[in-house]
Amino acid sequence: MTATTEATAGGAAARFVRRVDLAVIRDYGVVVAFVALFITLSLSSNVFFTWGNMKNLAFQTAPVGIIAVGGTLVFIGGGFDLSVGAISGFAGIMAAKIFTGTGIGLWGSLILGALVGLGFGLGNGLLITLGRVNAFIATLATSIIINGLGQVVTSGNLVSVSADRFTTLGLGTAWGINYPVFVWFGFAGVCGFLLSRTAFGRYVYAAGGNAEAARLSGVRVNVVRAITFCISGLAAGIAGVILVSEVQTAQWNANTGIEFDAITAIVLGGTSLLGGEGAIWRSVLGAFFLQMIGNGFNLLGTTPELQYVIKGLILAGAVSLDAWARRRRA
Amino acid sequence: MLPEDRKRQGLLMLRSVVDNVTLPHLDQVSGAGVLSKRAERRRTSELIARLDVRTRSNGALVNTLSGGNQQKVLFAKWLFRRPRVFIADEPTRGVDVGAKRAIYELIESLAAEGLAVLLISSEHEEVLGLAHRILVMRGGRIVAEFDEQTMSEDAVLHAAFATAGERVA
Repeated sequence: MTATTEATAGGAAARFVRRVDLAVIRDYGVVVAFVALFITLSLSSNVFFTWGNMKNLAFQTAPVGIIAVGGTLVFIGGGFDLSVGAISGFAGIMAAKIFTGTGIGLWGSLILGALVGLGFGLGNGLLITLGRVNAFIATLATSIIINGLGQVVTSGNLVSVSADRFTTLGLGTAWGINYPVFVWFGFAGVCGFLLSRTAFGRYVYAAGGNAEAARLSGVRVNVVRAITFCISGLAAGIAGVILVSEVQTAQWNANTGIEFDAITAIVLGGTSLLGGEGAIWRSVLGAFFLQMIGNGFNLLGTTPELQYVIKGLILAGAVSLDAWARRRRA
Repeated sequence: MLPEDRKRQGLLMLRSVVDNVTLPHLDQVSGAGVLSKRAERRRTSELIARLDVRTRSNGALVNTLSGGNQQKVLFAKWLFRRPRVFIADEPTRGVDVGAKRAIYELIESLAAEGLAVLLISSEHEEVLGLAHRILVMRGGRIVAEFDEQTMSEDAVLHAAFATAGERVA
């Protein structure tokens, strides 16, 4: 009885799928959605498609975009990183404290701040591979720890940097474009190259796609996974120092929630939560798409609160599509 | 090493034929960690032509291939480096009759080229047809050995099952 019902449902679904290939929608959905939204906004607002707004859009997206790029590697390798928000906050605190408290200089303190992120990423990687803790729980735990550390080192207060020079990274520009945009695209370029052109990238796909087969092929799955968490931590560190450099103040909970924006961007891009599939350019486009929704709501002057409802619905839809596409191919 | 469960232990189902074949051998198709896609494609094309893998292209995803062709992709993966010993664990499981024939011929040709083939199988016809020497295992132990003179269906089956009843009783 149950079997028959399932078979009929499966048959109907299969017929539907043959007409509209779900896998194709899933694979290129982000491109279609991106272009559609882009055209819609260009037509409905005369400010949207202007150099100023485009520049602004990229600038606003950069921190989330950088985190999403690092997170994409983790996702493809079969992991999950919830700690990037906390890491970016802490990296910002460290950069601000090092800058004000030592004579190491602007770039030195920013780089050290970003490296703190790399360090936490390594911690995550070790906890998940050697410690055998589920990635979701492990990074939840480390994000609680890191938030706690942030409160300890700041006594819960704001850390302000009075020197305007501190904003060079966050607000400085070249050819009218803010530095964070270059950092984002540069980082995406490097990670994209790693993923698609190097042996390491192939190992990341293998580790996430079929860990057992990868191990039997001589891939050191744990090492590869740990490295993806290091890169994600570094990405969070970079995003953290950019954000602190924009506003000249650091606070332990300044970036709470940014991890969810990054995860949303990755999933909207079409990188699977289940590992073994995905690409960097997808997450770059996903991050842009997400930011464009917010930007569009602002420009069109509709109730801005509604944008979260829309974002949530789109995310749920994207994941559902992924599940359908996978079941068909399994 | 051809594993028993190709979907769980052997293949990346959502990656291309090339990716699967070269995965254990990336050091041979890359310089300083950077892959040469051309070298990868060339080596893979040679192997899949020799093994007669039926695929649209070597960039096709493995999950679009039939069971028999998936199995041949795994042969290609482990023949990339010309091993001296080839372990085939249940090589025809989940493979249709025509492809079984092709896989038997492939194993024979590998043996003829001088590779030592260790065939692990629970199908006695397969073992009797291909092997030069048979070791029968039961309950984790080797219980009998046959060579080409002494092997026969009855003898092999007897060694494999005859005393199983006693064990249960």
